[in-house]
Amino acid sequence: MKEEILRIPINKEIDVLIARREIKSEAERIGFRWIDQTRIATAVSELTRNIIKHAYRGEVIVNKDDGGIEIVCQDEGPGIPDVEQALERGYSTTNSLGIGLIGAKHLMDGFEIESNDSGTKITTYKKLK
Amino acid sequence: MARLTRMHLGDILVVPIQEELHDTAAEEAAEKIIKEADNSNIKGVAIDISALDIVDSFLGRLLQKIAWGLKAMGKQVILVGIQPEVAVALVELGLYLEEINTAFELDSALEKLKEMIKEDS
Amino acid sequence: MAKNNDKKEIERLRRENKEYKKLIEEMSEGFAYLEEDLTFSFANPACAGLFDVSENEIMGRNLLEFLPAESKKNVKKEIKSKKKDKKNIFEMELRTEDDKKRYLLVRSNPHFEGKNKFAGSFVFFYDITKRVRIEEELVFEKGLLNSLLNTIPDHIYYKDKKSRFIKVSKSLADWFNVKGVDGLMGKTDFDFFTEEHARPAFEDEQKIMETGKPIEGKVEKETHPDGKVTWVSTTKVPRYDKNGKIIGILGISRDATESKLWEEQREEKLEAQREELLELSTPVIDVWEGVLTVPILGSLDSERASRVSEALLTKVVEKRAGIAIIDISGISAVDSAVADRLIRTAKAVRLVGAEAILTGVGVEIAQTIADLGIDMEGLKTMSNLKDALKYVISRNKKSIEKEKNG
Repeated sequence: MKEEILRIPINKEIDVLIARREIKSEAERIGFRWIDQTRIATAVSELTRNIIKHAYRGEVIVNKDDGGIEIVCQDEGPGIPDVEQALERGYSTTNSLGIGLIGAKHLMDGFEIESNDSGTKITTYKKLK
Repeated sequence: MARLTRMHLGDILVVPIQEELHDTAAEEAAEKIIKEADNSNIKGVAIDISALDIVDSFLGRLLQKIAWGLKAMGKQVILVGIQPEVAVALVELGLYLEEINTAFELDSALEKLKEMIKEDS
Repeated sequence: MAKNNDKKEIERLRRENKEYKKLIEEMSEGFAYLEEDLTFSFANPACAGLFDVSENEIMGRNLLEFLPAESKKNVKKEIKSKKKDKKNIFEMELRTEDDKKRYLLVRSNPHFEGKNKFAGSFVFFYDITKRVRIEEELVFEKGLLNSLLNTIPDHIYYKDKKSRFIKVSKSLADWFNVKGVDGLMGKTDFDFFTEEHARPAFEDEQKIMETGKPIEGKVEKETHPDGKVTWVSTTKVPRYDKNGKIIGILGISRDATESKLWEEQREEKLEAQREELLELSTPVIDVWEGVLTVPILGSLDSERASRVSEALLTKVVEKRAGIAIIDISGISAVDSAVADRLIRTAKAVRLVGAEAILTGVGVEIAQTIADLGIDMEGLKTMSNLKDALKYVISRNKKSIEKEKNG
């Protein structure tokens, strides 16, 4: 049964720090091991930074269920023109958007993007082990 | 931006990063470090991040850039106090920071740095 | 002229008489005249048939002869009683030749001499055996159903198309603290459970009634308003009317709380065992002053790799170890994913401030690593632990010498 536990607006740079800090605490509260708490916090940092840099404003919603934690980052920005490409490029790209996405994808257990010109929504999941 | 603490220990500049920095603040700090090190008296720089428990790709690459910049200026660089959590995150982001030397804490960092400076000269 | 009219009248009467007689002879209802002492002085064929005798045989016989002893008194009373509307209608049981029971509906039209003296009665008899049998069967079946509902410990419930309770087992009524098997009538699951259980249960039932497909043995979590949680195994089937239309459902929910608890406990135990196993299989060993080693045995999936990193990095920082030797000679399979995880762990060790040495690196593994194209800068690989230790010792020697000279 999914339940929403946090909803943080992302409007300014400092919200990135606030979001990742709060979500890390929440992960600890839920019972994630430190190694996964860090992965979650880092993923949040990557995705919320993307919101600030490319969409200017958005929000993070954290949901919890029996299996783990779901983190949804959504914004009303211009969208990611080519999601496939952004994800495919390796670390050699200078595109911070791509790096953020790949990083988050790697750190979390589940990763889905929906993006069009009215906004982007990224849903990630970390299993509680 | 808050003041950036730094200490001079002989010919070594020590910069402890004590609070979380958001992107703009981090870039300003990077500039300050490079400026400060741009001094013939400084032969080595130790950046202490033992207070940080979350480091993401932006900060990771910024640290890389700082190291490259300092090395280009002929200074030795060492990163101090990377916590296990931070190491894991960096490694999973693919930021191995190979060119940068690392140490647990300031003592060993300074020793290593001294050695590196000696070898270099 | 008068004589002609009379003749016509007489004819008419004769004809009418004949017709009446015919009517009485042919009608299917039994019709008789009983004398004051309840003997038959007239009975039509149908009546004689009902009493299983011929028309001749029935004449002069007493009605009470055909009845079982215990009902004689009552029947006598019923036939003779003077009722306001003069209609005496009652039911009576006959005992017939072959001991089969027959039931008759009796309509008696008594007439009286003077005030209350019974003088005789015209009586109609209707065979209602079939109806009575059906009634008896119904009562019997109802008795069976009620005894089932009253004694069975499982929760049984009949619901209508709107998932409202119609009838339930006593066990369920008691559980809900409601009196009687009809006490829940009109109520639904929503009146007794919280939304978490009531909603999906309701939807299940609506689906069953829509598709006709039953649900069998579904394990359900029942959530109660007071926070209590019970588990049941539920079977629900559609109920049909005699035309085959679905009119509701019948459900049985068997308590499974205990077995669920047992299952959960077992899961917990297994989980704890798994944890222990994972912990045991990634020991970080203090092999020397400032030198740690972790042998990786078996497989290295991402979960294990996490555990290894966790254990190794924490210990490295804790003990300020200068060297961490990761021995992979015992690893079962090395594909690119495993190699990738290994390298990342080794690089994390380096970042933290120690030197990472991978030992047990055979030709195959070396090839896989090379294929991955990962920069091995800062990482050493050696074929076995012995070589690694030799290296450690020689390094110690060097540093001791340096100290001497330095």
